[in-house]
Amino acid sequence: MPREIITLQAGQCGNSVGSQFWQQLCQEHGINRDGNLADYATEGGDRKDVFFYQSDDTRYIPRAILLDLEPRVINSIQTGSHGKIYNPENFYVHKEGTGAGNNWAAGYAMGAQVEDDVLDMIDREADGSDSLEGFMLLHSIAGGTGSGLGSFLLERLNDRFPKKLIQTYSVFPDTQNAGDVVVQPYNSLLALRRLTQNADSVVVLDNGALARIAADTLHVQEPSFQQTNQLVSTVMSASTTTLRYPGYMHNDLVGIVASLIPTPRCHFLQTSYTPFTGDNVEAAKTVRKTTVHDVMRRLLQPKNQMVSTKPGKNSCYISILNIIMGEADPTDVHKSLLRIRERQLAQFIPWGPASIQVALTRTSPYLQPPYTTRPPPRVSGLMLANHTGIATLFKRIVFQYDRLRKRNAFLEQYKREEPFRDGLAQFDEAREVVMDLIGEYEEAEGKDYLTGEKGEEEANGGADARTDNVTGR
Amino acid sequence: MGDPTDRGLPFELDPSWRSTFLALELRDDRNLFLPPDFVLPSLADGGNHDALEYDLELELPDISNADCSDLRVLDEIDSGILSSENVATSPKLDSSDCHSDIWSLDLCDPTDDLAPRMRTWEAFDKKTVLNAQHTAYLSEAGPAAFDAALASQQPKESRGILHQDVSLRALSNLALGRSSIFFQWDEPKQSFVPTLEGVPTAGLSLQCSQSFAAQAMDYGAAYRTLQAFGESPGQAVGSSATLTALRRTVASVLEAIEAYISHRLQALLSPLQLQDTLERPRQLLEVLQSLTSFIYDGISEEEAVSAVADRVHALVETGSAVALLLRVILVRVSEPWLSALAQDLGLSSNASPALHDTTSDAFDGTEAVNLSVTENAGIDSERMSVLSPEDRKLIMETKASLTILRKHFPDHDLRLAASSGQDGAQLGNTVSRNSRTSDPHPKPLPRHSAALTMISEDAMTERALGSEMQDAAWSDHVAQMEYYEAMDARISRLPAGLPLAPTDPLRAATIDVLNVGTAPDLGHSYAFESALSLQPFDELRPLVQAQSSRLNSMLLRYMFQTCHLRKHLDLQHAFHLFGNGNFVSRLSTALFSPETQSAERKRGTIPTSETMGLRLGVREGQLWPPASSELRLTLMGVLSETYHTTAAQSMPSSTKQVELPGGLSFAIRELPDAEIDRVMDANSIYALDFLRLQYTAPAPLDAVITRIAMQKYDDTFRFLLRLMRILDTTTRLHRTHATGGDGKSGMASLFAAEAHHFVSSLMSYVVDIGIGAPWRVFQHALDGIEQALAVRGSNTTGRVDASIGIDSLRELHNHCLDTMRTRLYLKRKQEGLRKAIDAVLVGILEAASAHETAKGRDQEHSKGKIARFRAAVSALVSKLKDVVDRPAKSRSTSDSTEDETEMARLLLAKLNWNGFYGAPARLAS
Repeated sequence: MPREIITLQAGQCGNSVGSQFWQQLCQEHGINRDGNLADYATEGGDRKDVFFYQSDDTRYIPRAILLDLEPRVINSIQTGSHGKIYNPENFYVHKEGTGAGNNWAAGYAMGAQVEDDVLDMIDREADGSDSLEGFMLLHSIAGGTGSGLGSFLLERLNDRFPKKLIQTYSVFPDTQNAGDVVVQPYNSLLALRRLTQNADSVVVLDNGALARIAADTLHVQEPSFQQTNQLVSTVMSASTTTLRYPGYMHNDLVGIVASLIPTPRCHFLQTSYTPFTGDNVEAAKTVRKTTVHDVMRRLLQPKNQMVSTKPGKNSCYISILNIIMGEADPTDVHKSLLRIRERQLAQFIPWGPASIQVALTRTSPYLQPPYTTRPPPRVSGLMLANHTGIATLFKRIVFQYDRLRKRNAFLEQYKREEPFRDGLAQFDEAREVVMDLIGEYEEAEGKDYLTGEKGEEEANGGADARTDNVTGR
Repeated sequence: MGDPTDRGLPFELDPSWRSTFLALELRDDRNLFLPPDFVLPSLADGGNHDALEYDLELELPDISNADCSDLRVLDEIDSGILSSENVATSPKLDSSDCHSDIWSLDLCDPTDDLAPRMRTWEAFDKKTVLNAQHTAYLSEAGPAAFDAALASQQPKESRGILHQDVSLRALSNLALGRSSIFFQWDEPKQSFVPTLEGVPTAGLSLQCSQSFAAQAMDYGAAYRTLQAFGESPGQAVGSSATLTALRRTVASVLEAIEAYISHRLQALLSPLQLQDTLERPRQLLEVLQSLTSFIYDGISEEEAVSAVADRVHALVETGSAVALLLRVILVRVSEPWLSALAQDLGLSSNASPALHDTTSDAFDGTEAVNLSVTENAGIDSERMSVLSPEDRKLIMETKASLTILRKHFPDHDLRLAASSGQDGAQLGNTVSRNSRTSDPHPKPLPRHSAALTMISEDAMTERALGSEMQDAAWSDHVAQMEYYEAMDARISRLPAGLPLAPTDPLRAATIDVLNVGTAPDLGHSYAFESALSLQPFDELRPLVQAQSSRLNSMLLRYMFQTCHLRKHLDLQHAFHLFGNGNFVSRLSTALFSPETQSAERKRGTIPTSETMGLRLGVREGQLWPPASSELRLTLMGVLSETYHTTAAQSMPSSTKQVELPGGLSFAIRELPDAEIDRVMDANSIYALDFLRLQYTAPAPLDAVITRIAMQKYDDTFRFLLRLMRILDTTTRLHRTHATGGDGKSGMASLFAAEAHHFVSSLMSYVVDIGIGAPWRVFQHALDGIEQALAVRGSNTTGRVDASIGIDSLRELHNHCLDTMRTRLYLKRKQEGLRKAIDAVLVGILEAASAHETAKGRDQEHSKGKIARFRAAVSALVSKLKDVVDRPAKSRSTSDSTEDETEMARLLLAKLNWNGFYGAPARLAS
């Protein structure tokens, strides 16, 4: 019984990333550009039906709904190499095709207009699943459509499918350098509020970090969108590997979320991936010899993180899930864990048990010659981590928002849209939610998190006696 | 040189009555003791002589005068003062040159010239003496004189004297084990009885002749007994081929002895010669008797061969004169056993119809061997010294492989014979040789001569092959192949082309042994001897090893390629060991998911489109265990759909109904009464203990996937199922918690996180480290075997490691499962840790259910449960720490213990990475 996941792609970024993601999935599962299984794709054991369903003519159709308020990207997808695999009914382009103009409010307001159509699509897809597990939203939070329409969808999905999980892959703007969009702090903050309140799990991908990885690791100084999207889609496909090639654990979203997110509000995950070998990433074409320990160690290095955070002294991991793909010997993996623990490479929360969890998964047999031009790395790894340091990213967003807001810059276009017709309270509420979130993460660095407020920690065994966090002795 | 005494064989003298060679010496005049001189020349010529002349003649030599100088010299020599100067200055010694050499002192008799002349009074009295030329001594006077003398001593008791010829004939008959007028065979006593007591043979005293007779009778009795043994019919039911062979060997040896003796008897002149002639045969008979004394009816072949081999070995080691013959006998005796073994091990092919009839009887014997080997394997291995434990293992393995092959592979014989290259030919020929001699029924002896000629031929060729080659043959592969080729060439020579030896080698060997005294040309014999091993199995071992290797690779290929062993093993891994994620998630959904509908039929409810599920732990007041119909409906398809989606995608949907390999299906586990109660409770971690996977390995595969192995799989499955349940509980707990908003207490959140962390860490340890790692090792080993098989398939000279047989494969499998059980703490000795783990799982389940039912009212109860859970985790952690910190001294140095410690360290690191449970305060609480 599959635990199906419906993917919603909103906006230019979401659709571009999604397009790459589906291409990647098709390759991994041996699905042709027309949706049919390739002749060579005879090996079973994978679970295609999580992300695909089969049409009457046995073609594999992605459980994807592509939404945009302007037709450019979606058109290019439709006419692109894999344009035929999607269900044509699942494209939604706003009739006027004007876009949201990098305005969260416009996107959000537009959402209300298109709600019926879009929810129809979603319902149809949901009905088509045996046991829907949840939704995956791909979007960026800096622009208008992905951010605004995405926020709107999150709210609606939450109402409509309260029991279903919602995971988002949210591309955050580069908060360290000047972004392309001047109002991105507004958009980000507003979207961040919905991500906090309406999503179960948010995989944070930071454009700044992606650019840095492209520059540092791949030696691409000005990465194209396609290149960064390739990074994102690699991460996405890796993080869904355990769902598509199920193992004994982490074989559904609930399992992953349960392992990574002990407290519901701290559900922003950062990722690391190593080694990158995308086709579009020129410098990555040389593959180094990779050992399990190398991969595990590199995953913990800040330079491989796809989020630019500035962790403080007390920042710590709430949880880590390493998805190790390829020919990894479980004994090696666990020995490497021991070494990491001994060297204190990862600092964990003091208020509860936490450790690096590892999911060993198979990789697709079709990712190596003769199906591709060069062999994949022997071992590759994705780290999904819940780290309190991510609050610094939110802090920067709030800081940038505050700077703009102080000057009341660019507010006019927001005021024109429905959510702000009655005032800018939305901004303040969003800021409050995000500040609370930051506060929550900071609390989570302390040892009295969860138990401290009520003064009952002693009865439950206070955490103050923990002297040595690492060795436990 | 014609005189036997010259050759050091005094007992071959014909009549003992003769003058000895010492008599010749008497003619030397220089001797002190001259023969008496009865003719005095001075008297003979009748002249008057002066009495003084006689005085002079009869004067005793003046010893004191003659010796004084010599004595002095001897004194000087004794006192050590003799020097060359001394000798040179000694006036006495100067006179004679010979004195210069002290070693020739005694030869220079100073009395040389004074040799005394002995005279008789008869000569002096001029009387004629009768028989003056005859010896003066009774001992030299001849048998008649001796007999007369004896008779004169005991005139009353004398009954007469047997003429030596008559007596000798009777004794000769005894030597052939035959009765004669003087010695009758007494059947009940199994001995000869003299009919004429107290009559000596001419020229012998009564005691002496009786002693001769007694010896001869003993010999005759032994001969006769052995003859009876040799001739006794071997067809008695249950009589073993070895026994028959021994009988025939004995008979053959006796025949040779008989021939030898009868030949010698013709030239016999005296009882002493007879005694000498019988001496070697007697030794031989003793040996034969000692060999036969170990054998009794009903003894198993192997025991018999072992007994004979041991005895022969002991005799040969002690340097018995008949060693060579013993070796030949051993070869003979062990042959039926070896050939039966060869047949048993499939070394022989039954392709030749001519042999088939005669060998069919041997098959019965084969069965007996088979039984005896297997039955006595554990019990009598010390007694059966003929096979070393390694050999026994080799044979058992080969036999087991063959049994499996025969059962499942009826046409294997053809393939065996037709199979590539040398092995087939080699084995075929060897076996044809063996099977020719394996007929247990007595047949004319010449049948065997060819075989043994071949053996002796073989021995020669083997020598020709070079002993270095033989030695080196097993040290390296190429040499081994060369050796095989040489052996093959040797064995495949047609018997017809061999120059058949005119006589039976056994006979020849016997006669060799008997003649060893007279013809001590042993060069050939020793070479022959050294080629015949004292270990009967030595000859067969290389063949058995080759056969074992062949069969192993054949069986392995059959198992891997025809029976799809890998597929079946993978099936166990996928289902019993949770290797298949699809299965795990399906099963988990079917058992626990709240989003399913019950298969239980209720009036008024219409089944929905939802998947069926048992919803264990979700429904309140649930009847547990579920009805078997509900269970069946719920679990229907979980296995088959998982299996078929895992297999090739192109499989048509109609095959979904096809049964899974080994009939894999869900079944109800039979539980002891004590465990039934806890299964009835849906909230117990044992609630699912009734569920098991049923799998029966199809026939040839059950040699690897044994029942014991399945039991181990089952244990693991049971444990994994429990873990899966708890994992689902904690995941769900977490979920309800997350969707429940912030209303829940932090403590409950923390509990959910702790519980989930514990279970997921444990599960990850169990499946990855506990199961995955050993399984991986096992798979690598299987890959290696398969590769070797593939290599061998493409290259006929390639050889699979002979050590990998069906047994070692099973060992490999069992070892893998045992490692898993150790790592999962399922072994009996790990009860402490297992209980600690169970306690934590119980704690989680109780706390979770308390938490779910509490709904804010019964917080305290919930808190208590959580505290208990934490205490259980702390207890487990401290137990694991004990294992890790256990000093190296108290640990045995075995790998398994080290592995255990290492594994405990891994688990501990996973459970308590950040020391959350390690604080002393927590441990104290």
